[in-house]
Amino acid sequence: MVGPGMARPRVLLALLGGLLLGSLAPGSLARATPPDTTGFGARANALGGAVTADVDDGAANYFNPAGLARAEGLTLGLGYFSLHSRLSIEGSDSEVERIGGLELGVAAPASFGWLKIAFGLGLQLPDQRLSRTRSAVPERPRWEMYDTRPHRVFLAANLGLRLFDWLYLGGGIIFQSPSQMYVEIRGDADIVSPERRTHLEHQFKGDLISQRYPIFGAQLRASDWLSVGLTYRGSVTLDNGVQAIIDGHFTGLGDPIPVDFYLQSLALGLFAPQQLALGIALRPSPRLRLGVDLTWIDWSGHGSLISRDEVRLDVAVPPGVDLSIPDRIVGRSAIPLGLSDTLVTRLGAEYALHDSEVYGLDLRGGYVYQPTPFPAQTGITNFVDSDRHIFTLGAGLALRDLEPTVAGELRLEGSLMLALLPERMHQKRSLVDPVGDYRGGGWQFGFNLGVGLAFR
Amino acid sequence: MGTLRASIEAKTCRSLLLAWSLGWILLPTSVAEATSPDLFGFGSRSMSMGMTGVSFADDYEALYSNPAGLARIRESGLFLGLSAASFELELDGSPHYLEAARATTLGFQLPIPFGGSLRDMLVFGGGFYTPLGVVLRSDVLFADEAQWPILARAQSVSIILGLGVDLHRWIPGLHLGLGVNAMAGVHGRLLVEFEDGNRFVSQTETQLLSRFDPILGVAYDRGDLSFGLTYHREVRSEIRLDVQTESLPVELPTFAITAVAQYDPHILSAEASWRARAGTLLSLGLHWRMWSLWPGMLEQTTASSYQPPSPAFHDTFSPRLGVEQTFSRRGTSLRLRGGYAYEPTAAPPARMAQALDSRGEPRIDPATGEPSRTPIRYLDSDRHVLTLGIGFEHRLPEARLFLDAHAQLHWIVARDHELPAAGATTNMQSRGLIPAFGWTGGLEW
Repeated sequence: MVGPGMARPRVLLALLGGLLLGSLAPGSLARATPPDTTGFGARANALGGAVTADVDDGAANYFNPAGLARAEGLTLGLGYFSLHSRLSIEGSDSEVERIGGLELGVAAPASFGWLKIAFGLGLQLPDQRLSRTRSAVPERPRWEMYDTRPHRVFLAANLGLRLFDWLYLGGGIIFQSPSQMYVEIRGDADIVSPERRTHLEHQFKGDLISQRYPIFGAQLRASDWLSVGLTYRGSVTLDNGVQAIIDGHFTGLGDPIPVDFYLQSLALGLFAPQQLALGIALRPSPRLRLGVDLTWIDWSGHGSLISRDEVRLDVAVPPGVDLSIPDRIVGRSAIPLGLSDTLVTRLGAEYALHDSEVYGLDLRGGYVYQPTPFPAQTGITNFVDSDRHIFTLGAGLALRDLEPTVAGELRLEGSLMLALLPERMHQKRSLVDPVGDYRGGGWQFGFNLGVGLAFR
Repeated sequence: MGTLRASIEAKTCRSLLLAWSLGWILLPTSVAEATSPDLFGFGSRSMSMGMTGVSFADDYEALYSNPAGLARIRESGLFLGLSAASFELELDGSPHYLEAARATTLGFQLPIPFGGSLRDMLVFGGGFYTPLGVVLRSDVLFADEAQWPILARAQSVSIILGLGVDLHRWIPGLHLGLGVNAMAGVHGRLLVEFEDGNRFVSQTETQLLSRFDPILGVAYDRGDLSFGLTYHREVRSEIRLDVQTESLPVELPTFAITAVAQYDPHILSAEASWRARAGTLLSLGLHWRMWSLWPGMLEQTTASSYQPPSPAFHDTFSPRLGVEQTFSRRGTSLRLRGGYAYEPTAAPPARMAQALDSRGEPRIDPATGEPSRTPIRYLDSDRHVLTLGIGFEHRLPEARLFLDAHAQLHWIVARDHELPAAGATTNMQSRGLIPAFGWTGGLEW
């Protein structure tokens, strides 16, 4: 029973919470795609990511922010993930780079009478670089989903609310950064001895721009044995642009020759599609947990990955100088990809092998089916991809007899993942296609290790 | 002079209104920022007390001023702030545009609830300082273009994580802290080639590389006195874009587009504060910024190109003073704050500087045999910073609510430079004002 005198401060707290939630856009420095490929957190990954309905630790920052409010007390998790790819085209290794890095997950709940608010922070920090982008060349086959796409930092801040014992809501805003660069070069470039007598200088203007997209989630705890969860992740399109201007002279052939060069390249750096995930978690017995997730991913909204280029070159070549400059230079233009929406299926099971006040030991397993959104590459583009069957296995040890130092649990988690990408044939419509027909397929292996503290 | 002062005052009033209005309008959409804390401070309390806090910070603001202050925290907390600053700069009597800095600050503090010998010992915190619209803006211009390289640092994101350690069990009053300031740089490659004589193909590859710079702090409380010492390692964001050309009608060398897009020097800060029994807090500090180590913003474009002139910045010492008066009644506290900071400029006046050759040696004009000189138009001046603020705290049964507001006025002293602007005949004169405002709301439980 809440009296009116108590209700007002709590309404204020709720309003403040809402205000913070709405303003977290900047704070939720994040991106959704890396966890789409690598998952987030050792426990969730061991369960195939089928945790939308009942996740309650730092992994909630990606899978369902509503779960933050389910944490009993402060939860801190630190882990490492790694994904190795062995993907090939026509039997030749495509040398797709490993993805790995640190994971940090925080859930910090606070109760104010009937209202419970939880702040969450999730970070996935690649150990090689914060992000990598590479423009696509239509004639060069590449594994688009794994080439540079997952090489991004993920940093998300969220808020979760427990409105009733059976209803949890959460959300945050994720933001990502495309870049715009402008380069201007002036001076003299020597045609005869370019390496020794070229005197140029440059100026640079660049913006990493913030773009935001939301994440919302809800968890419904229908009973002790049934939970239902729903998560929506917004979409974001990142256009990277480069503009270069050279205003100078060619030297070395008599009088300086004025040169005016202009280049503009606009490329789609990343498209993260909107997603809707529905999950159900069942506990048919106290020791067994089963989870099923279905995620709709709106890949059909994907734009062209081929950059739009424009170039101009004006050189006032004096008579008698043997320099061949084309009258008109043709750039590139966008090519539709024709992607299809996908429905990802996730299954997970967890069994408590031992559960006592001293320690708990859980075994976990899962399966994920990710259909590819890419059609067979029959035209001039060569974005290779295939359906993905992921099998996961893991275990978690919770040490509970740690008082007085830790009033809660020390969790040690691990998971293994094997992904199979069946070989797929890409048969070209044109008999004179420069690349020709080819098959692509392979497998991936990954692991997660994590350590966490869950206070009561 | 009178007309000019009136003009600046009118602009100040407009800026105040604009900044305040923007502050409210932009609240729901703001994002994050990085070296702006060096210009304006971090957190409303510090920003209203002459950017002090090294000795007394006891909430998330300690992440930047002195991470050792985190160890004083006993309650979890979440804070959201908004700030805006307008650069009213003048060059030769005309406005010189520099984009306003608008940013949000998000901070959190989490005492880790260990028991036993670790009880009340470790506190984890995080802060995000984020400018509106951009994560990192870098305008690295030719050295001969008039520009404000120190003030132009306000447009970049800053992410700070920290841990405070309370060593009171062993040495009462001693706190240690470690923070990490994360900054990103961009490395990239642009390949331009011609196919079939007139078809142009470009390929770009960019990588965002992280850099983590430590903030180390120590604080000591003894009775009514507190002392603090903080070291910030230099923070820099580097850009490198290699431009290669292939199959062009002429052969060109690889262009290396390099720039230091954002830079904070090494900083050593010392401060002492005194808490009088009547609810008064006085603080006095000194900041040493090692600007003499700044290499400049640009590097040479090709191996044989001339090196840019040296900026020849020098170290600065910035004294700071802060005062806070607390009035408390029935669980509600009102705090009035004020402060002053003197920020001497690190930049020499704009001038004709010694030109350098490709190896960094002085360049000699072949026609005269004299050293070559090249214009360098970096504008900056000493700043006098006046700060004011008000804080409100209300204790609820299960939490404490905070609302703080701050205002700053940076007076940029008029400076006569040693060369004219491009196309002008009389030497440049620069001056300006920077009004800055903001507020922070927070909750501790």
